[in-house]
Amino acid sequence: MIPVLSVNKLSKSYVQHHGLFSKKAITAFAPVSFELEQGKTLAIVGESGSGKSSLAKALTGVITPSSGSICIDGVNMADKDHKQRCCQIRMIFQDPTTSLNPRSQIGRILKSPLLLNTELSEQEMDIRVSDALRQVGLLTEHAQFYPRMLSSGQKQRVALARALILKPKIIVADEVLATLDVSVRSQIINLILDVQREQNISFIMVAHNLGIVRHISDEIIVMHEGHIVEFGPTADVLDNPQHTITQRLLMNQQVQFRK
Amino acid sequence: MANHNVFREDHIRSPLAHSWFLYQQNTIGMVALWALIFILILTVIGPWIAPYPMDHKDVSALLKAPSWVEHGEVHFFLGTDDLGRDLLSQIIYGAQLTFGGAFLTVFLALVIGSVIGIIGGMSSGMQASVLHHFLDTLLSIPSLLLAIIIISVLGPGYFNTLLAVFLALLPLFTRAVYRAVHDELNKEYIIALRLDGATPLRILRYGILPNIVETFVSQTTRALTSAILDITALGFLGLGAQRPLPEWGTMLSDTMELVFLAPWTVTLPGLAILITILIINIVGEGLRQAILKGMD
Ligand SMILES: Nc1ncnc2c1ncn2[C@@H]1O[C@H](COP(=O)(O)OP(=O)(O)O)[C@@H](O)[C@H]1O
Ligand SMILES: [Mg+2]
Repeated sequence: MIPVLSVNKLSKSYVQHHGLFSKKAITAFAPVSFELEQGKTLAIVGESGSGKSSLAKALTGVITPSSGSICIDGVNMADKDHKQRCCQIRMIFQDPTTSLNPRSQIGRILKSPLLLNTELSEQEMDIRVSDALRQVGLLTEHAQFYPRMLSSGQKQRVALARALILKPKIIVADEVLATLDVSVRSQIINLILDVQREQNISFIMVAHNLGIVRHISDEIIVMHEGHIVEFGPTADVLDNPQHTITQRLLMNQQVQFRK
Repeated sequence: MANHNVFREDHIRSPLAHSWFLYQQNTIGMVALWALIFILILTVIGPWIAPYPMDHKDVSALLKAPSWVEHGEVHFFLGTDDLGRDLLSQIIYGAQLTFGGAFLTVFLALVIGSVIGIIGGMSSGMQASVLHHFLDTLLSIPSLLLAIIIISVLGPGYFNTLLAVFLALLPLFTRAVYRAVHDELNKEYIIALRLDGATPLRILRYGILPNIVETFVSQTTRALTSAILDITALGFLGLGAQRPLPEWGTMLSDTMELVFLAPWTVTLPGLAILITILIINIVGEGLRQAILKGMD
């Protein structure tokens, strides 16, 4: 089966300017390569600072990678602009309170990708918006709301709707569950699993909680200091960790569970 | 038709409309807003409602006290100065020079400074960094001092005063808007908008501008205050508007030696300055608070 996403030797180093002329490069992640099949979920785990967010951002085009290629269905996306990318790959940010414009109605937030990337009429866009809202368990009336009127769980649903509305092949989610409380978290997880089953979307989830990772993901990448130290089917990696970093992550969380 | 929406908010207000709603609950703020509108109207129609022409001198009525004091006369409502000029008319004309001049100057500085600030804030790299350092240097000089330096080059006079105040205010607006736009650009909802494929213009229109209204309001308030203070200070120092122009600061310096003989000639222009600045600050601060509260 042909993978929907294949990442080849992708790397990113940030250039920091000190004063006018001197600069320093910080490696966020070293060249990494991996593939993802359609409808599968890939989890990325690792300590903080290991380059997970940078990888997620480079995949979706928030930052430009320093080298390497990102192929979706065989087309290299690395040098494409946002317009060409966003119908293929979309991002959900960690904190829904900062990723929704406080001055825009939910309807307009959801309409903006349609307006910019499709030729739909005003009416068709309204229908797509209310469909998307209902798909994530909200009401059509929520289109008139402003973000401040929603709870954080509802906001994260809106963020998911924004990611889904262009019917992309891949959705990248950077620690979307971290800011939600436990009950809301399981609702969102189930929502994601439902959506994935219906539309056969591939997910890349940056996550922290290995219990959740085991539940939702098919494959897992363990990162440490910008390198992939382990990559494989989730069950295999978590049941039989080869690398000390993976073992340490598992141990940390087991200690937490016992407490 | 029956109203089914008794328990629901009957319509959903936008954050800015909500801020305006909050501001309307603020009684002092509303009073000050009406007073500000009154001053604005006075500034515009002053020449038509002032009882006497600007250079009218009545030699038979020198140093008349205000009408409510003994020896005061009702047709010189606020009294006269040492040349027999009606103070009420002078203050009304002065509103145009002091408040009107400050208002126009601030408006121009706001528009031009914002354009530069937005362009600087949206661009990155060398351009922005040069602008940033240049503005920081300019801003380390107090605005009045900068205005005095500019006046000393251009020479004294009312128009040069406005020019100097404009040039002193410009970096203030530019930097504030630059900062706000720059901070805004790093927010996730702007990144999300960019990922939607939005053009920079669209990002500016829907993402940035609605979220930096607070910066505009607080900067305009500060700039208006500082413009009025600078114009009157330069007038008072004899560097700004010259007599016969009844600019409030010029009036003050003109009548300073009469302070014991005819205190009202000093107090009244002074009060005009004070009250105008007070009103501007009450309105500005009220709006700012309402905008911040309207966010959540
Ligand atoms: N904008 C940035 N500029 C410079 N360095 C950055 C920037 N963002 C992240 N980094 C650095 O890159 C590394 C990886 O960070 P990040 O991708 O955020 O890791 P994680 O999401 O796993 O915590 C860290 O060392 C961090 O300091
Ligand atoms: Mg992170």
